[in-house]
Amino acid sequence: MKIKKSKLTSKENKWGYFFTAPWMLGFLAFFTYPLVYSLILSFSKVKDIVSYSLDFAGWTNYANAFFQDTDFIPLLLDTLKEVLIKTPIVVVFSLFIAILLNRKLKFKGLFRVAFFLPVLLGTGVVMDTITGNIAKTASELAEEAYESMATSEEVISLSGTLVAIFGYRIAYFMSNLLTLTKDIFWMSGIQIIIFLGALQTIPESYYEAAYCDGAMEWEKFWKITLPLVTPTILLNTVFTIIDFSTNAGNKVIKYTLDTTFKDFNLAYGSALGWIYFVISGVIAILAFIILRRFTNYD
Amino acid sequence: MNPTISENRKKQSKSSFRMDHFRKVSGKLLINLVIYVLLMELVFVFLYPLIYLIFNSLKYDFELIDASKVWVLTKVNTENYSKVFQNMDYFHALFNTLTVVLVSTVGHVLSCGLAGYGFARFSFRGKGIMFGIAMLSLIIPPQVLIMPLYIQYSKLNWMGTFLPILIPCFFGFGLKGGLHIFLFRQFFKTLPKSYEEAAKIEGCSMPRIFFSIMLPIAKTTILVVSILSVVWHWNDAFEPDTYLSNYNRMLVQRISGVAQYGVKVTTALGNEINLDAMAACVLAMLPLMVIYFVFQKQFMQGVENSGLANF
Repeated sequence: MKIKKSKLTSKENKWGYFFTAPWMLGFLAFFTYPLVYSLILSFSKVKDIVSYSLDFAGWTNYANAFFQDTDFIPLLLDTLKEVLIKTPIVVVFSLFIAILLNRKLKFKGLFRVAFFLPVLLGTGVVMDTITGNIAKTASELAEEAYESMATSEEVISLSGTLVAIFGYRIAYFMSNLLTLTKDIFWMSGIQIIIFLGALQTIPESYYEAAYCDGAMEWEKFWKITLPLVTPTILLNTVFTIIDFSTNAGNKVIKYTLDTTFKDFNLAYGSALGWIYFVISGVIAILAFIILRRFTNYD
Repeated sequence: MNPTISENRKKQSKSSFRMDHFRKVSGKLLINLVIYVLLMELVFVFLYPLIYLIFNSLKYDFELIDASKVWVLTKVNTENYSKVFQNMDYFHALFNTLTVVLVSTVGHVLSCGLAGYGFARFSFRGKGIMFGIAMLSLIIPPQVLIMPLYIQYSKLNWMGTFLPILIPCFFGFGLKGGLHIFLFRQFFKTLPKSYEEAAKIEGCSMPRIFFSIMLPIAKTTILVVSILSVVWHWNDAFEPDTYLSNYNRMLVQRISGVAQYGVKVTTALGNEINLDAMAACVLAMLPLMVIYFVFQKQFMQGVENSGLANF
């Protein structure tokens, strides 16, 4: 009986290949091929752009990126710093909003729609047009206002008044803070929804039991809500890191694209791409491993 | 003596009960008030760009210059819209967008549904590694792989057509395909095995189990995947910019084209406003907004049932 059963399941498990077959084909054509090709490119030198004939160049492209290129490393560090600072803020902020939205409120639907709006508007061209129209980032405006103050012209913009009231340093800091807040709000649409989904699966009876034992809201959060959403925190953290590092507005990606398409330096461009990909992949995997230790699967 | 004491006690306890009750109710009211105010403020921050966009795109330039009328509309200017509408070749662009968005979404649902089901329900050799790679494909920015793919597609003569965007979607790749596989896998993992067992006893073949039992059950996840796929494809600028010809360009790509010839006005607040670009933005986002508002409730339910919470 046992042997028969295992035979059957192994036969059935073959169907796994059937279901994943389209993905595997796609994996070969749209993933492995370009990945290997770009890896080869990154280790070589393009002799002729028309026919794409290559010469093996060893680690020179990578060495150039680290020791010759004065722009790349600062950009990379900047981006990594941004990811490391903003990810925890986005996760905490979206959890906070989700908890607020999970209460019994009127106009819940409206709030939900509003918080998902950034995802709809996207981070693409529309966002660029809007932000380009609203302000050339608040900090730039502050700087401009400061300059115009220095030349004793009329101060008209909001940032200008900030500079006038608080002085340059504080105004600059505040407008930086504003930019940061805006970025964080606009990155957390999907995370809020995922958290909300997780919060709604926590049974109401847990909270009722805690209420009977005299728990305060604060205690309920630490003893019930937080432990039960730890898996979702893990998911959202990894998602946020991926979102930040593959974002089209990312400076490193822009730089890589410019070297590839504008300067037509294919080999160097792919080397830069690989360095960035490996580093961001390591960060995502590290975050996954570290957070997994604190994750509570019941 | 005794009855008076007990009466006093009763009175005291009654009043203290009232006080407690009052405190509780007022405390709750206060908390709710704080939450509403907080949420309203946050909603304003989230909505601000949209309000700003719609408001200013409807203004005449003499009102834009006037600092006293930031949030006042005395005359609605629709000239902009009709001009941009023509310049964008709106209906053709909308047709292009809908083609790309709908076909690629169908592709994503089919291929990612299949792969997600395969990863959730069967144990076969190399499954762990394969699923790991599917997730890894999310971390790689599409920009890293663009050069080899560009060469590949131009060899296939796909450049300028929709094919480079559409075909990968039917194989579980394309825009964030890995995430959709993950969503489907999480959902199928939550289902009990008895569904398949019952179907097997009735003599149902595996592909049929998937198409006539599993896919209909996964309705909510399909909706979530569809909405995400539609929204991301709608907003994506990178792939269409690289692959599509001018004639085939989608709504969002035409914004920058319109913006180039747009009239620029410097407002009272000191920022430069491109009226045409703003009108183009509103026109490009309008259908998407409508789609989302219609499916908003089901979408939320879908996220709740998707199994993401039990990750």
